[in-house]
Amino acid sequence: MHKPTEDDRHQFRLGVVKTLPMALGVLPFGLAYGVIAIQAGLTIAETMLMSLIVFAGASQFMAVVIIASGAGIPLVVASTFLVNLRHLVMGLSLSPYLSKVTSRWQRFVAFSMTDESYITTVTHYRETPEEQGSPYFMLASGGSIYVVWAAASLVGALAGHLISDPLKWGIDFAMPAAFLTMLLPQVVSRRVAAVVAVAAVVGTASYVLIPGKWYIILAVVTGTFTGVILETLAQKRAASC
Amino acid sequence: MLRPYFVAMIVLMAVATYTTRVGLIGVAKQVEIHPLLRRALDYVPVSILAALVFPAVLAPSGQMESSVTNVYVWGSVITVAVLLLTKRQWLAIVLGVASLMLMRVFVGG
Repeated sequence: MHKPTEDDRHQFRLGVVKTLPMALGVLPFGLAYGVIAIQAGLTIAETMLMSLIVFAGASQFMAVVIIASGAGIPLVVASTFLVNLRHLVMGLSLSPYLSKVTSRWQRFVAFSMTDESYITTVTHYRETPEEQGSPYFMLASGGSIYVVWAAASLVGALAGHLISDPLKWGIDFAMPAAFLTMLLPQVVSRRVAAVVAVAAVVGTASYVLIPGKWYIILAVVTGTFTGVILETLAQKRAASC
Repeated sequence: MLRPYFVAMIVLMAVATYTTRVGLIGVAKQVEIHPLLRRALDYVPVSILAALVFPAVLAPSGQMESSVTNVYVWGSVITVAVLLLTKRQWLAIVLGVASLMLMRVFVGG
């Protein structure tokens, strides 16, 4: 890693600014995690250790719920792995933009990749004309979520038994609302609208029917499949005219 | 206080999670990505976004709810309307969340 240039600093600042709406959405979930981790019987130090080194909201929620039910290490770790499999797709999707940075950079920025920082980062990389993405942007994006998640977990853990469920007031909507404001500007063609429709239907149906985070993977597979098929058909039509 | 049993559990969780994060991020550096896959990857972000939005809005409690009485649907309508009218992301999120909280208070659900 070389000394950051002026452009690197600019990308870093941009990463923080563009991630703020997502970080706001993460806040109530961090609080809620801290609260239920304490209620599940973890100590404050353990609650924080999990936020600091695992740093994956959905799997942390799931882990404390199954810890509370008395499940052992193998089940918790296996479930964590399964819930986080979607990261593989996200990493793959980012890899073309990071193919020229060192492996050390890749391993470094990968640590803080979440749903939120992935979406912000990949959207930024696609908007910019350069083929390569700045790792400083991704670092700042993931780092912002990391700081908010850790701070919110700590407040939740300290409040512990005082707060019942911070998600029931309706602030949990901040997360889907933030994602919605990211999604809307990206629906620029009928093809993308069709991809969104398929991913929405498949995602929602499998969310209701299948436990875990498989719904995201199923939505991605069917959504991208739809996109590629429609794109190929359009090219064939254009070629035959 | 850190108990060894839970520290072991958390460290193994961290290893499992990091494995999924780092697993494929370096692929394009090692091998040429097939053009078809490269094209498919263009649709990954919108698909993930759709999966992060629609289930959370249409089935907030894990089950499908009637759209008319579901405050998350109305909150989304307001978020979209504000975004389209003002083009301001922050305002859309804040008004969307605020309207949903108000609906909770006055309508329930």
